[in-house]
Amino acid sequence: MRVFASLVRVFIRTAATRARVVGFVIAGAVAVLVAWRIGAQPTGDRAQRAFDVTDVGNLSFLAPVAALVFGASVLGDPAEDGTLIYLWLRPVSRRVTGLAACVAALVLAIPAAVVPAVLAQVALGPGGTPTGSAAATALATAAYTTVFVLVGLVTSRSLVWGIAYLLIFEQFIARGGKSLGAFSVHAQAVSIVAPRRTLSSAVAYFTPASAAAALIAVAAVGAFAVAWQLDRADVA
Amino acid sequence: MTPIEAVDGAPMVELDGVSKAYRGVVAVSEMSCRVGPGVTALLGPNGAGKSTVLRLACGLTPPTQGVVRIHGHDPRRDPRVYRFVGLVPQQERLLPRTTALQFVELAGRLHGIEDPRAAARSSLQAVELDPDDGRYVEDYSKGMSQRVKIAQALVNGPSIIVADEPLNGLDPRQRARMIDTLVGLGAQGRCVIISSHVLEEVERFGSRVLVMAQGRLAAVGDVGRIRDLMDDRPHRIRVGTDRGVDLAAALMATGAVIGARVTPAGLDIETNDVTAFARRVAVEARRIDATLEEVRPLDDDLESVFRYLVETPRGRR
Repeated sequence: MRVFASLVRVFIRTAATRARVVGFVIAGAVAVLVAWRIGAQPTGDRAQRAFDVTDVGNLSFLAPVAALVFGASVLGDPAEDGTLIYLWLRPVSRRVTGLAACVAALVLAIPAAVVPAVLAQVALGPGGTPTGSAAATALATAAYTTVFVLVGLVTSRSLVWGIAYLLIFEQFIARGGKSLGAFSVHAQAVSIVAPRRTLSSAVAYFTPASAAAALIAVAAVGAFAVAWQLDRADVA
Repeated sequence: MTPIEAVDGAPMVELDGVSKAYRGVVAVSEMSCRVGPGVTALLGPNGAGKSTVLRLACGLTPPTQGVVRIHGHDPRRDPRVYRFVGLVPQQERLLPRTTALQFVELAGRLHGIEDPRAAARSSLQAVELDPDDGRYVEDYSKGMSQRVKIAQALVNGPSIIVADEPLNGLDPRQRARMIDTLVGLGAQGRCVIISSHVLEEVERFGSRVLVMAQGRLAAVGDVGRIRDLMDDRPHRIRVGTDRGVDLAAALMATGAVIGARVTPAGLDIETNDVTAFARRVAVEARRIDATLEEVRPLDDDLESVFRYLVETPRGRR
């Protein structure tokens, strides 16, 4: 356990640069301010507005971007600059190292996405759904994060690949129907926060329970894949 | 993790028919060697494959072909093997926003040693660094970073120490100290593998030498044997003169040179006997009334020795 905790601390220190932390504080504050402005408008369906704020501000932007930035860097940065060698060349199971990296990325990415999501719903006022928004954002961030930890480990341009995946698959291809949406973290997460068919959403295909289970499964498979890849890694 | 034991009778480090290719480019080709206690130096020019061999020996990269064993175990299959290994890598970067004590203590903790902080303090003191220095390691000089890398490699008392260009960035006093440290570890019965492209550096370790060239093991022996190879091979020498053709003919007639070529820069000769050439060149120049402007070796460096070793069929060595 001491080894695991030490690794988590090192990975957090690696990924949480001042620029990244400040960037997410600003992005979160902007998201909350925008929600407050929307909430201040007297017209419109409040439930739909709450859903749109979560969908656009959190599930389409803050959650995937926080997951990408922290997830891809937690192993990607040390692999890139060669310092991974100081963690890899130790008598420590790759499962422990991989899980520690995923936990460190989650410790950073989930607050960066969930805190603004909750505050934005509170700022909306009546009709806000802080609990549902928090749950959907947390699960989406977890799923994205472990996938991006893996991407950071296997590619040298993880940010580019990650952004391409988010824009092309999550925001475009996954909107092509339920079968494609089944592979989309965004579609699954939207299904958690938009259970009512009365809400206008292009991708809320699934029940909240199945969507939550799917996102947990993606996060778990991602973490296992990270450990597997660490075992096979060619460490610089 | 439960500890792992060395296999009785197995070499400390063994490479058996190991090749490594990166995207079709062969970096190391069919290398076999066993390394035991004492200091062993991998010597070769830049790009010879030394770092790849060290990475293979540590299990940092899997071989494309062949087998690597550490104390009889495959390091790619069982990370517990790393309790035997301390690596001083070549790259300069250390973990960010970490003090030297935190960095070395982390290494000790990951090795599962009982009191990692005490071990880290002791290891840092052994390389003459202050364990209480509060600065982050990224603010250290190159020499200090190098010593931090060595401290983390030694923190758990490994039986195998692998150091990629360990003297890089050290001043002369630190170099002497580092050589003493590594030689001392070798004398204790540990397996110390270093890499270098500087023969004089390797000479100071008084070690067994594995010469690498173009991804292959070109020669094995002590430093004396490598020196002999340097002396035995044909030497190329440039002679600056105003009468290149005449001087070439005169030298060829004496038998002191085996080949000559007149170039715009002067006369390039090839000789198997530098001493005989040195005796004859001034005499012949005076005899034919030629002016000597310079006499300098063109290939008195390790690069040319390695080239010679690679280009020479094995039977001739």
